Amino acid sequence: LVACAQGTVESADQSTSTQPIDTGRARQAIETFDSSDPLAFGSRAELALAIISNPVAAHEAAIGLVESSDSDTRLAAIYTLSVTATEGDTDVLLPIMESSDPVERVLAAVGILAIGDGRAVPVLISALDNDAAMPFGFPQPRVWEKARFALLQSTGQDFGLRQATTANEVAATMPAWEGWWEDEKETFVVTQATGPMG
Amino acid sequence: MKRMARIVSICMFGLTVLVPTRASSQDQFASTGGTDISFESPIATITVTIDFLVNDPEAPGVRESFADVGQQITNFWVDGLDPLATDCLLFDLVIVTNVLPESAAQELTIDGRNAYVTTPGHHVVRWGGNEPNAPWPNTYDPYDSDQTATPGEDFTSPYEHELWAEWSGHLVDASDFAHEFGHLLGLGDDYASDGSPLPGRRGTLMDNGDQIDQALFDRVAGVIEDSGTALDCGETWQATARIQTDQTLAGGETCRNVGDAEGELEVAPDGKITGTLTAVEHETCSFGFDRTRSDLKLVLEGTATETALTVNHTSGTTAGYFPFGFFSETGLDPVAATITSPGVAHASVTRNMPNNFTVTLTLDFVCQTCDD
Repeated sequence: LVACAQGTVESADQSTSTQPIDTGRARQAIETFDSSDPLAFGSRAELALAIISNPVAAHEAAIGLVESSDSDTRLAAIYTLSVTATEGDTDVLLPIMESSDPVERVLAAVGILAIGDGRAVPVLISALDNDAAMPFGFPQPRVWEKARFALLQSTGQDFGLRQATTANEVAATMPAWEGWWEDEKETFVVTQATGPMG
Repeated sequence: MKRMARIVSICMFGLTVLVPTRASSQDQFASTGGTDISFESPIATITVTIDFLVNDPEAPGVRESFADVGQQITNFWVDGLDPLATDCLLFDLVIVTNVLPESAAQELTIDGRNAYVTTPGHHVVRWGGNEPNAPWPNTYDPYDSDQTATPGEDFTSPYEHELWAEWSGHLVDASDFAHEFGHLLGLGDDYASDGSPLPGRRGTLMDNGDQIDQALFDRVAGVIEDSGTALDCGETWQATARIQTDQTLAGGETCRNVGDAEGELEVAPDGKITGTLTAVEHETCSFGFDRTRSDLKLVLEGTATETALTVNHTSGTTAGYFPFGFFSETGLDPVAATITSPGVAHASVTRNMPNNFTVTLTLDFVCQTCDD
């Protein structure tokens, strides 16, 4: 995929189409994302709307910005990619799971897990004791909260995690998860919880 | 009084076609608000209309699931608010849920900010799914420059405009959904930026708990009043009355009747006065007649203004206490008690009747519930 100066790319999914995808709006939302004020929802709302209104464009814009040198732009791009991930994104997301930033790591991991790739599981298990804040909610959710949710939604396992609601309680389940993963990592298949709303 | 709580689930099969538009914060698109309030003392009926946007509304069980969510929210709030209801104010909650495809929504630009809208008067909640990468729940207020409320501060936007939100599988139980719904009632969070509870608010529904306390009840009422609907429940006034009659009979004999009455009057928000006083009567005459009667009823009706409480009695002269008949609609003019100071009213009337009959009435009212 090649990002155009005018903010359009040819979509891999639409390579037979002559219609370019206008990524300008999504690109702007990603590039103007501001995590500095947890109460400034403006840029968060714009990013959410850019993703909702045109997820394909948002996905394409994010692909082009995940290596941005600006930390907020990079974070917004990784977030966007995590919520719009498709099977073709594995090569992009796998390296991000090794980022020095725990927020970037967990976002990449939930994206990978959402497309059914179990390689995210150990990253999520190791994130269960990470208290870094994620600027995508109020109050800002913690890395361990995101990891907890993803593991419960996709593994069919529990190990006391569902009842664990504090950071310490969640972290205390790590040994059980690590032991389980050691036994299951070769045969693990994602088991997606459907939840109350399908 | 038992409050009714109900949910109306409407499945819309036709989609409203909206013309793309730009709007200002004064735009009529948002003139009604997704949260509507009507008040008929003492019942404040809150009606919240939510359009849930999902990938596939026709998937088996989806509509039922969202109707169930609405019912859970209703039950949670009803169970919390009911015990706090008073004779003065109670809430009736109605949640109307629609389940629509995401294509039913469009963006609306409001003072440079983008909102996600469907139909005027409908809040929009996009369902973000249960997958591990589901978005964190957020409620956005495009009518606020920061698009959110400061912690601890409530806001009237839901009563004036349509808000939009993302909900997802991160919401697990009824209290989670009820918390997010609280924002559609105009309630801000009870926690600070770092997630710690605001002073005195640990464990409330708008913190991370499940308690609907007196403060939340009062805040719901406060937001409604701030949005322009007065929840005036009226006033209660303590009333005392003395009626004395003196009559000189043919032949020079005299009679005196003294009645003392007390009770409460309710003054409705529209000024209507109702109440019943209970009287004790002592009647004596110079020829030896001496009688005391108690538990006589004096039913009063009237109208309150800023300056006076004007009442007459409607229990007629057959109630056993004859002098009351002299300030009834069928007798003399109603009696106006002048408000002499905040919460205090007084009347003193002497009426000279035919046949050497004099009636003297004093009425004193003291407000029991007035702030000023």
